[in-house]
Amino acid sequence: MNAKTDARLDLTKATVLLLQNNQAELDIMGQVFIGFGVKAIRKCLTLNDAESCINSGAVFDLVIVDCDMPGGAGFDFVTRLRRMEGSDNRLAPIMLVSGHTAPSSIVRARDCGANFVVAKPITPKVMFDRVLWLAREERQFVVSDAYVGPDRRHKTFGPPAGMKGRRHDDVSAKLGKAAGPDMSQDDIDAMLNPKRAAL
Amino acid sequence: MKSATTFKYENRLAKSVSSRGGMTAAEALSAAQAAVEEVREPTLAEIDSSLQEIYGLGESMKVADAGDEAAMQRMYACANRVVAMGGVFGLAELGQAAYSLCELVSRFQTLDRFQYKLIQVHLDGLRLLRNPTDHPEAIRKEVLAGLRHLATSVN
Repeated sequence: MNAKTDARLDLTKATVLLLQNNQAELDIMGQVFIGFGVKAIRKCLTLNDAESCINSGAVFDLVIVDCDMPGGAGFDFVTRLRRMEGSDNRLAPIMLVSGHTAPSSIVRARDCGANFVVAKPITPKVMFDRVLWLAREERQFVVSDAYVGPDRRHKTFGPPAGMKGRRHDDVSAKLGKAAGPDMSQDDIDAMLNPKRAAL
Repeated sequence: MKSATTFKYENRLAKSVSSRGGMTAAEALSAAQAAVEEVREPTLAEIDSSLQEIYGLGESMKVADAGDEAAMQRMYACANRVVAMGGVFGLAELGQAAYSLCELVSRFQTLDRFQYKLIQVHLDGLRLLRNPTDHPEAIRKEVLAGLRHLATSVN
């Protein structure tokens, strides 16, 4: 997906929370969203500010969190947010923005529960594309002991080979016995080669 | 371990995608670029301030011929700021050089090594790419390729 698509974004009623590590980056990000027409932007420089916003009762349509906060505090913030049972913000789309990512942070970024990680620099084009992608997000939400957030599987390939799936809808790789009569060739052709119906 | 629970949920951002109203990509990008221009000067000042701090840290490392943990961490943080801001106002190559410096420092920290010369080359690269129009594109590309090669050679 890219900014050349003819999709339109109307963010005038969206409420956005921005948590960035320094003022200059926060200002750039804020200006990008002002340009996109967002009226309600909460800009936070510290975790305390961001947590106050979350706890204030405001409901955010989009949360953007800096990966580059000291000690990986941004990841911890996302993890806590995803585990806030009863909070409307628990299910908010969350985008992480990251500069250089140390090896130790890659797994944390994947497992904290964010919807997406975007590499800096954050230009308007990159941000527009990613917001559009997030708006079209249809992955399910997963709650488990070790992870809470959007399904990390972007495609359904089933559980890894040799492992039993942990989800009720995970299908075994082993084929069972046929449950009914074989389909006729006509039935198969009809499935693979649909024709316009004459009504 | 409990099995995972999965459920569908309402994506609140979904309602912002529309076929009518709102902004097309071209309109949104134009408006956002204009809005971002308002912070051009303070951002460039912040980039220069970060670069000055990096150069200062480099000088202290040169004198000590060592990179203490605090100085390395600070250099990494400053370089990461340049990564974040460089590309917004036409300094994408400067941002890439800063990214290479982050990679180098990260590898020094992980592997517990230090070679000031590799830092020095990166600082020279940053100085050169801060004013990209002063140098031909071929030179800039060569510098960037060299920096990447140096950073990834530490293993």
